[in-house]
Amino acid sequence: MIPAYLISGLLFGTLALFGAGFALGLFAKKAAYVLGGVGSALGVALSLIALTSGRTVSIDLWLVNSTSHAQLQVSSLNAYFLLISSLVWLGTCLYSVRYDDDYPNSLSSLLLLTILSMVIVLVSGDAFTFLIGWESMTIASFFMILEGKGDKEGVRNAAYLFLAFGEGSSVLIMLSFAGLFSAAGTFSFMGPAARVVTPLGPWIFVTALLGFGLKMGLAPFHMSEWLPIAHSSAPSNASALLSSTLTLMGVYGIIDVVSHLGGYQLWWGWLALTVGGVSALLGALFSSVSEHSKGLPAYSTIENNGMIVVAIGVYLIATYYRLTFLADFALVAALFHAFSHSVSKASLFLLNGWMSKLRGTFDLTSANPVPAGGVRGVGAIGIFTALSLAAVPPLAGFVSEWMILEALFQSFRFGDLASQILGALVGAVVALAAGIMVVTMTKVYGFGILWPKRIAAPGEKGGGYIEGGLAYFAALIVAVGVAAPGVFYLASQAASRMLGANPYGLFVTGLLGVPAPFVILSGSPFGGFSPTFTALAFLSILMVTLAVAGAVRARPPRFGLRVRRTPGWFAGAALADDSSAMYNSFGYSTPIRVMLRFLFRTKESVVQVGPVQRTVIRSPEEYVVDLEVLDVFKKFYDVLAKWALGLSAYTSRKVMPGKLGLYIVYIMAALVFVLTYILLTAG
Amino acid sequence: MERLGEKMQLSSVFQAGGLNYALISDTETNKTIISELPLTLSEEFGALLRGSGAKPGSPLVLEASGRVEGYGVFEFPYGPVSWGVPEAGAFSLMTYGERVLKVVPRLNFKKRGIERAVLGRTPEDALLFVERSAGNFSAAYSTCFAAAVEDSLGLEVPSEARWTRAVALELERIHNHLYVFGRLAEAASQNIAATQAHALRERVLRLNSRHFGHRYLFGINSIGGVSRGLPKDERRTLTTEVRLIGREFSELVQYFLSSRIFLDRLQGTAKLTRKDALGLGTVGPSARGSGVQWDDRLTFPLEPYEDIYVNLETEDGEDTMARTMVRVKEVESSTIALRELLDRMPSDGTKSGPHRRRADSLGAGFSFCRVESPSGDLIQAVQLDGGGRVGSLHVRPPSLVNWLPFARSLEGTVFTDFQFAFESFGLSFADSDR
Repeated sequence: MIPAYLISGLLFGTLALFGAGFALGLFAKKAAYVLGGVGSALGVALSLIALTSGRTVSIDLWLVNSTSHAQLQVSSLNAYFLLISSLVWLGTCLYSVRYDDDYPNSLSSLLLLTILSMVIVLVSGDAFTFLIGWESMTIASFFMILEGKGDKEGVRNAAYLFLAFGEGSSVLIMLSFAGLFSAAGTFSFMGPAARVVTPLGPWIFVTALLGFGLKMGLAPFHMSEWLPIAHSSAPSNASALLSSTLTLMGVYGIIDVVSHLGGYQLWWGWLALTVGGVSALLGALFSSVSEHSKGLPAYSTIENNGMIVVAIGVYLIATYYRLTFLADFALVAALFHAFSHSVSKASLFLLNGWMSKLRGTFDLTSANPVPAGGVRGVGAIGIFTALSLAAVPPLAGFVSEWMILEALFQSFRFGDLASQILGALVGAVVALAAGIMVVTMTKVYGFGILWPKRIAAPGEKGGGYIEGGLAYFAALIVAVGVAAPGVFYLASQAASRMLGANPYGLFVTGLLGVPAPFVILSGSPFGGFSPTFTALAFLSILMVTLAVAGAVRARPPRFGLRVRRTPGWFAGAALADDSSAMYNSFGYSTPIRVMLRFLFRTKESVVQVGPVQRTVIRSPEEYVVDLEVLDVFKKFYDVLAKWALGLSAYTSRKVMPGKLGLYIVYIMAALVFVLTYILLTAG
Repeated sequence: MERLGEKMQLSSVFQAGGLNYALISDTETNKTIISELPLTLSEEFGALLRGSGAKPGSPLVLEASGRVEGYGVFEFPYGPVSWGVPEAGAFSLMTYGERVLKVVPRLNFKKRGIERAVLGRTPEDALLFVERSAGNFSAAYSTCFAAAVEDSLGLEVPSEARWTRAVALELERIHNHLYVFGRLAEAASQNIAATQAHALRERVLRLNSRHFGHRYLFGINSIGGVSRGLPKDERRTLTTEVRLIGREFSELVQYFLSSRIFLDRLQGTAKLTRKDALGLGTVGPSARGSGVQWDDRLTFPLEPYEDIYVNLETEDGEDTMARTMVRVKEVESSTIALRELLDRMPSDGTKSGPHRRRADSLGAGFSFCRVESPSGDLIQAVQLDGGGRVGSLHVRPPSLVNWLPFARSLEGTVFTDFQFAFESFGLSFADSDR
């Protein structure tokens, strides 16, 4: 039995290390990152212990009202999310030691403050602690985005947009918590608590889905995800944190709120399926046409979070129909996908961040060369990230996407036709999105890492930290995929609170000669898959190939194959000196822009510059062409922003004309209103 | 010279007796005008129209439009060894992916230097070179050269020989149009239509072989006549065969017109406006598809064409479909013309008498000729030296001038339209490179 003081000790140790890192960051950033790394390692240890022991430890801080304490709490559910986050933070801190060189000290400080706030969000046992963590996370991230290296105007706009969406999210979450409070009678409902069945259920669910969905960048709020990251060109370690673990907090929030509710209604599931499906497709499509090395992964986050919400939708509908097996599987799939997405996405941001730094631009279309010294080994490590996000077996991304699709394939088990049809439709959409991601990842890996010309010039070097951080993530991605039964166990352990029992034994078995526990089942009877043995099969094919190649090369020249080398050529002509002059990343995805112009609102324009010197048959005009895509939802928010500005201008002119007396009247009136309300409702 | 433009087209420039001449086509009155050319203009057009400045191995680059720039724009090399480019020729495509912003044809990969090779040879020898410039247009090349030489020598060529040449020209037109039709069907993956069209073409080639001794009509012409006439019974069988082929082709076309998939790929694809067609000096079915009314058989008629009925086939669609329909209708009008040619062919022999010299307006031994080849107006200007050998030869192939209209028509289209535009213009690298 694990003693409770060990868990609470580790928790305080983790918090203290991050806090110390935050303070130290202002003076010595490298030391701060080291503290952050140690803190993350403690976090990993803490969450592993809590997860495997299944213990719940609560630490009361102070009394909030007669029924609720402000408290910290470690249970299997939040320990699982803490595990994912800590693993990501560990790699990010390692990477940041080198990456952070040209940013001010404040970045490291803010980064650790954000991490500290996220830990508080995760281990909060009550609504107040949660909101304190949530707000400080938003504000710290806001300042982190302000460190971005884009143009000043763009960075400021992006940061304020992030803040606006963050506050909108907070308001919705508060509304959701208010509903939970009125139903449960206590604020201490984060962490394990009884399920409540209440007529306010729909209110609580919808506000939670919207509020947390805002943070996750679900459609139609997906601008909250890509815009701050892309437009500000935020520091890459910050982007990794924002896109990977910050959105993970949203996933945690939704799952936690859902775990407190009972009496699911059918349409909740439909709502989650629809929102998730649309987000997945939009995210995938916009990701595939993005030329910004930060914007592309940010859009991909929208796609992945959409998939997670789809899995939650399947869980809700399956629970409604008491399809225990499917409900369990869908929930574990959502948790598993959160894991594989977080590690893969953080890795992609760090990878792209480093390449962008070497290229001196965030533009994937750019023809800028990179110093060969800086990219040595990066391409080999990066392939795992790209393949995982493209869902190639046996890596992390494949296992979880397989699980989500398998869950959707089983929508025929739903009890009504509408749910069955919706399940099948969303299944098709999610599969399409997953397919588009293959194209997108080919693009980001091909044009982001392989394509830039390598020059021998002396330049930046990773110094071991960059390569180490990336290799750490690559190892993690491989491990999550190959050791999938282990991760499956952890996810099942996390889900056990909601499901009443650990479903691990139901799904993990042996089959067709593959020993237990290496086969993951998706239903009874339905599909089955063994990531571990797939990896073994791949490895043995690779070994055979290498062995044959080695044997051929080792033979005496008389029998061996001759290797002939010729200069490269293209279409019968000598290869251009600079390959990016012949093709680029923009051209790679323009077919999608042109074909789906109704969706992208693609605008193509040809502008003629210079005078036309028209001779009899020749007309040497000069043209500037332009093709741009537009996120339609941005248009909507632009209009909204215009209205809001107009309204505030009107208000400041008419309602608040700058007279001190009037303000005092407002404040007095508000106070009187609140007091009256309390008097009337108390007792 | 000031009036040059859309109505007055500069069709060719050539040198004779140390002077530069311009051959101008007046598209309003359908007249061919020969005029002395100011030096400045001749420099500008010389390389472009003749393409003779470029040496073998150095590409001739034809740019119809100016520089294109913008975000993501790059130059995509297409050919000379790429799928979809049927001959040794190349293009530079300016694009930002998918959209074709500008096409720059790069020629001369097949340059053989025929115009230089014939210098100092007897006209009979030169003819063998000239008719091998472009195998598909061999009858047009040899007829054009023979007629020009005969004109400068002042030879009286018997009518039967001239009518036989016309038969060869029309057979060549039919087999080329069938070929273009088949290639278009291939581009649209209409495999049955493509195979049918190629089978019909093969039958025409076999007719050529049976009646003229060569599938591509090599060696049929000689200076002063044709090497082989068509006896009465051969004329009759030829008439029947041609009528049969024409009928089968019109059936095929009916099928083609009922295939929405095929039509969709042609309609609205690679538009060439009438203004551009005139401004860029487009010739042949490509020009007639944009509503330009010019056909050398009617506007510069050699002997039999004044006596027989040839319909001027034009379309107003300005797109690939219109160019295709012009060719389809020309197959029909050619079969009608063939029937008339074979039916009313005079019998006054296939060889002229001994050479008699004749003074010429442009200098001793100089003359030119225009022939409507399957892809359009072919112009040759020949000058014989004192010894009766070829002193200079200028060829203005139809494909050479059609590259620019082709490039213009592709601007703003997508990659997949490339094949359709290319085939519908009936372009040949061998023809323009010669």
